[in-house]
Amino acid sequence: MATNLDLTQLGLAYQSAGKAINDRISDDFNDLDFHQVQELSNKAQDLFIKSKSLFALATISLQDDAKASLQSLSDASDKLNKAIAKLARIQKIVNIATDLVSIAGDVLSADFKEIPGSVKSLLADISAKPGE
Amino acid sequence: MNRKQLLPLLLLLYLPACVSLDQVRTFSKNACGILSSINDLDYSFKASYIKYTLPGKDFDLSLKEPTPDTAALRLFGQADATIAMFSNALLAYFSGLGQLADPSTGSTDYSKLGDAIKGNEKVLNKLHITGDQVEAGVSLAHKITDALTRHYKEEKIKEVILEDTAAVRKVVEALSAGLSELQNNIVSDQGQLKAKYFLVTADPDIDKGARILFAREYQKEVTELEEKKHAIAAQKRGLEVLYRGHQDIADRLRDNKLSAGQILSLLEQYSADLQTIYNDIKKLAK
Repeated sequence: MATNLDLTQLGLAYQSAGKAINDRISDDFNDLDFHQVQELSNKAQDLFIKSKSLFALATISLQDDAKASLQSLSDASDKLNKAIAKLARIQKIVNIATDLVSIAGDVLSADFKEIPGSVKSLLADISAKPGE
Repeated sequence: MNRKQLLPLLLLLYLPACVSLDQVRTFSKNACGILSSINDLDYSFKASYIKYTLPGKDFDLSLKEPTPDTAALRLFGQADATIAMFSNALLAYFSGLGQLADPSTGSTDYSKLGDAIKGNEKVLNKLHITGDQVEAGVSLAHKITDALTRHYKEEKIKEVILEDTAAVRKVVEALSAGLSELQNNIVSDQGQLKAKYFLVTADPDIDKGARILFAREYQKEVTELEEKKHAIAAQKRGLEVLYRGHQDIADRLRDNKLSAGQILSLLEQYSADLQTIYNDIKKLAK
């Protein structure tokens, strides 16, 4: 199987051949008739088009070598996102503590009417995802 | 909590940071700027195929492919997707680093808790504390949590940077190689345009006015392609700085030879370099 380097080198060879034909047209432009220019121009364009397909293939071939590293980077990004979510949980715990103080106040004041509201707020904090 | 348990916490409040979070954030933000510019570049294998290989409206004397070829579209689309996959993997990594280093991530607000306790006489009496003591407690809780959070962030960032230096290098190299192929593609576009230019210039059926128009269009296209080539070259330079910065910090963190001040100045230097390159790219890739 051709490597990235092989494909690039081949693409560059096609490109150089296309450039050489362009140079030839440029140098002999006044001595060439339209049909000769057309033939050379078509040949040059064909070579450039083929070189572009080879550069695209060379790019795709880079995937194989980088596969394991891409997985490592994806794992690292997951690790960072988990750390961010973990930190968001601290605020959630503080919010729950705030609700608990409110419930404790209601219990100590024997204000039983307010307790369902405070419990509802506590439940909302408990079920909220970090960052919400 | 006894004194033995409290001492490490208090020390954390006064220890200098081994990794500067602010600078990690700025470095990551600038790295993300370079990587985003790659996704935003108004040039791709597929776009080049559609623009230069398929016939356009004017002067198509050499019709190479009168209709889009499905296999060619797939090939160029895959090449573009490969570059996007590399840059997006790096973008996710550096934006994660930047977000973790951001001061707003994990900052804890105790004020509502403090207000809830202070505003409740029964709770204050039960706990035998005053409102002032609650204020002092909230302030201390802020300081301790901030210190713990900072320490946690620094350790996590250090761990990730040390573990993933090789992966960052490999993906940066692959992305840079992909960008080189894109530059090669531009050179071929320019060659193709030149070959077409000769054809139009030599065609006796095309009148002088139309030739002048084509010559202008040709020059404009060549200049635009040249600017794209320079923008990609700047992006590759940015990737080099991004990788060197990441590697440099990892090496020194591994050896534990770097003071907080040295890390800060290193990160500042790399961030400034990335910012300069990013500004160049913005100017070139308008």
